[in-house]
Amino acid sequence: MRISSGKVFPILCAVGVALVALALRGAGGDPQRRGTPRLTAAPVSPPIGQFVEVSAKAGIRFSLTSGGPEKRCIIEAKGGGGIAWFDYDNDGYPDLFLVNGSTFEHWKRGDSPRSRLYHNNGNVTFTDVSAASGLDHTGWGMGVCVGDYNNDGYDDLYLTYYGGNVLYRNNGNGTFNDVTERAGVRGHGWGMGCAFGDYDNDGRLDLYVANYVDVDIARLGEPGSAPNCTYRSIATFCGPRGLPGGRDILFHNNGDGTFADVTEKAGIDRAQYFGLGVVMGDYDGDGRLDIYVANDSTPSSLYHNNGDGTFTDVGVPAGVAYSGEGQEQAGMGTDFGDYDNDGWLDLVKGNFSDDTNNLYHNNRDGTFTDVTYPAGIGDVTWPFTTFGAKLLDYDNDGWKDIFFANGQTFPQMDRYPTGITYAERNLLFHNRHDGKFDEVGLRAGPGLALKKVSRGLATADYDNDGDLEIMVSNMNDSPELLRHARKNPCHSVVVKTLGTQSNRDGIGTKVTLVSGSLTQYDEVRSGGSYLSSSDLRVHFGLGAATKIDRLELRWPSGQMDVVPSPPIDHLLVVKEGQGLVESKPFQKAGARTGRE
Amino acid sequence: MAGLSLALCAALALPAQDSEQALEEQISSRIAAGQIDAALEEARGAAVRFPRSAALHQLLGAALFKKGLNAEARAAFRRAVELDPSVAQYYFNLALVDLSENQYAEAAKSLGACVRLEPANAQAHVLLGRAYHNLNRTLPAIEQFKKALALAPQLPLVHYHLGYAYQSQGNLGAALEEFKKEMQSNANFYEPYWLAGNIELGRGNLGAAGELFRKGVGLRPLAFQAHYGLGRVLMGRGKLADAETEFKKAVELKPDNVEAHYALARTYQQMERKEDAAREYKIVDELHARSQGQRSGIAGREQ
Repeated sequence: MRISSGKVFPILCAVGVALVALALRGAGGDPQRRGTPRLTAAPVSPPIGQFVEVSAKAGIRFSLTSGGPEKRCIIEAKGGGGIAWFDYDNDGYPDLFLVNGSTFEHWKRGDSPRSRLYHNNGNVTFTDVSAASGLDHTGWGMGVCVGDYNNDGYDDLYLTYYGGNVLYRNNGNGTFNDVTERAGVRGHGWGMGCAFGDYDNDGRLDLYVANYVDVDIARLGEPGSAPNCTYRSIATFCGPRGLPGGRDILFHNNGDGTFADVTEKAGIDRAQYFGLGVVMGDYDGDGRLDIYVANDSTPSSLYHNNGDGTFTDVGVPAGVAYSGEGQEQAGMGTDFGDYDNDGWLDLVKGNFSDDTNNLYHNNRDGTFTDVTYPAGIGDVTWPFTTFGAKLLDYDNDGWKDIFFANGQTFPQMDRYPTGITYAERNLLFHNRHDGKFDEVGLRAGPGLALKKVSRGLATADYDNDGDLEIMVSNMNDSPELLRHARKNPCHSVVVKTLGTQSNRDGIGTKVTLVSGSLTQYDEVRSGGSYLSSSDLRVHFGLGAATKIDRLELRWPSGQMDVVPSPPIDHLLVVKEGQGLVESKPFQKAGARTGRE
Repeated sequence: MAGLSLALCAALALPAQDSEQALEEQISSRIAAGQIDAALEEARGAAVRFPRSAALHQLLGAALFKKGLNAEARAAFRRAVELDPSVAQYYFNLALVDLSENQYAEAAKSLGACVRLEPANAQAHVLLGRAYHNLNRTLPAIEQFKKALALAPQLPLVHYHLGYAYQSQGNLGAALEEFKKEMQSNANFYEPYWLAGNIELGRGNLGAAGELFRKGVGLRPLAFQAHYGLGRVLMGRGKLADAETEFKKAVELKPDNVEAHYALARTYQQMERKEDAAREYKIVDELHARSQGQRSGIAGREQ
């Protein structure tokens, strides 16, 4: 006799069921979005980008060390992979710095693998110049950010580590000195993302450092040993939930080579969330840099700069602390960028699997709307764990696209046929110009089809040919340098800023480009994405436009410079108060040696 | 003398075979009639009298399971399997006990055996799919649900379970299709309405979403998800006062639900009722903080 199963069995609750963001493009419209310019959908031509992976051919031989294969501890899975593009020798070509991690054995012995500095040879190849560079500190490396903190004309590096960070001053001769102790920026705990920015507009770069958890990594519980040492009932490393959070740090640049820790005075991270990605931008257009921190498993923070040395975390009322439904997310990489060309910075954030990433649209009134699903990003990103997140115009059509660098944290997922895997492909979302995106990764060349456990992500036009290349770091593996396989027919321009009253890098400068009916906006930015720092030069695609009407730069000092009709397809150098001081045509196709 | 006694007893008693069958029928009838206590008493006695009867042990297990005596029920079903491993139904019933206690790995083993013996058992395929899904074996779960549908396209709940599995993979298009099919064949089953409503809402189809949530409310007036979802539709249409009403109902139904409080906060914010918004945001923060504490308990730095 069969027993009828009249009972309704418990429904699987391992996956959050609330999936959707508010759809605020309904018939009634979104009351919060006032004055939004009408978007029109341009005919969408097939994406032009065809990326190929060229790291080995370019001479980059590096493997990111990060723990053992089982990832029994959180630091092995989460840590490291920071990437910096920066022109350390001012020869006009962005060089590359790759942060290395460690293993418990190396870390305990004090002989962790070194991070590497690669000099850009100007012919699409790189040379490892680490040995003579003075960038000798070893430890469990995490992230990196770039900024000329002493305004001497040479970009410096700040590296985050588990157990104390390091500031390297660029000596201008190919070497760096560790000036951490003198500068007073060692910090504490487990440093992760960082960013330089002049939050008080005094002409000197300040520094924000996100701290993750405050624990002794040698004394954490075993996988599966407690409720927060599991994922989907599978035994995994413990945390970050259940572990004490580390407090982020804000350092104010004193102007004499030293910094002051103003965290408490500024009102930063009183709740001690699990800080990861950091990006600075003036989201409300009041002339002061604000700070967004993607926090893991806790509300993300949007620190509004009050203009008096203090900040207020307005993440919750601004709508960017949680998902659109009010759920905490495992925020990791993040970036500011104006994806709809309305002149206001929007926000993108990568999250864990069984969740979507976020695209937050700036409503221009101090708030944002989570448009993840209406923009077409929700469904696709659900099974992916996204670390690096970047808004970039990869196809030079004048509209910012999105790149997500993905990779799980739990190798154990490969033992279960859930559709979630440890190694994941990266995602490339093409902007359709109508507020929506199409995921085109599998049509964008072999470089996007690779499945790795990705972490850091940074972009640069490293060959100065007018289109952006993408560097991605991978756990226990070589990085990916993704380069366009063929020349992009669209026009573009790259802008380098030189501050005089403002900080020398011009970080925080607002750059507006007008070409015909298209107006684009961006800011010079350090840090961002996941533990990484992209080329400080600002890139604008121009699509089919054959001229630029004008370039406007509003510097942190308040100075406004307008460059009328700058040439397209050029590298432009704009100096504060002087306008365009240098203009160099992009490198031609013939110089693209080493192409596959 | 002893031998004569035995023979006499044997002659006086009913033949063993008939007696066992009669008992089976009697116990089955009692279970079917809901007379569980009586069925259980008889079944216990019968199992002692006929210790090698798989069928009687199976019936004993059934009665025990009905009484909620799961440990004994499991033992009885296992005995039935031991005595006659060729009967698919015994494995099926054993799996029911395991499923009722969320013992999905054990249930999967039993159901696996069941479908090997009886490949056309659609219900077993469904339950196996549920067990797999709970074991993070989503792809095999989907396979099982599809097998069940191929065998019995009108079997209730299968489209729903399949939709749920698709949803857990982020395959919302496929999930929506399955939820719709479930609604067509099982119109009074509440769950697919709000799940499908959420998907439509996410796609910006406010009309379709609203209709689904309203139907959900109609089926289950005190269901949280439908009121919450309807609130979000109304908010999307700019009908903030109506949205507030729905969110308040949702909060009443589930006072500790973060999303409802968050949605109410966002509504108040749009209505420029700053104090109300701040109050709700504070509740959201408190609820999150409380849940962080509930997930702690791991060794960290010793204080």
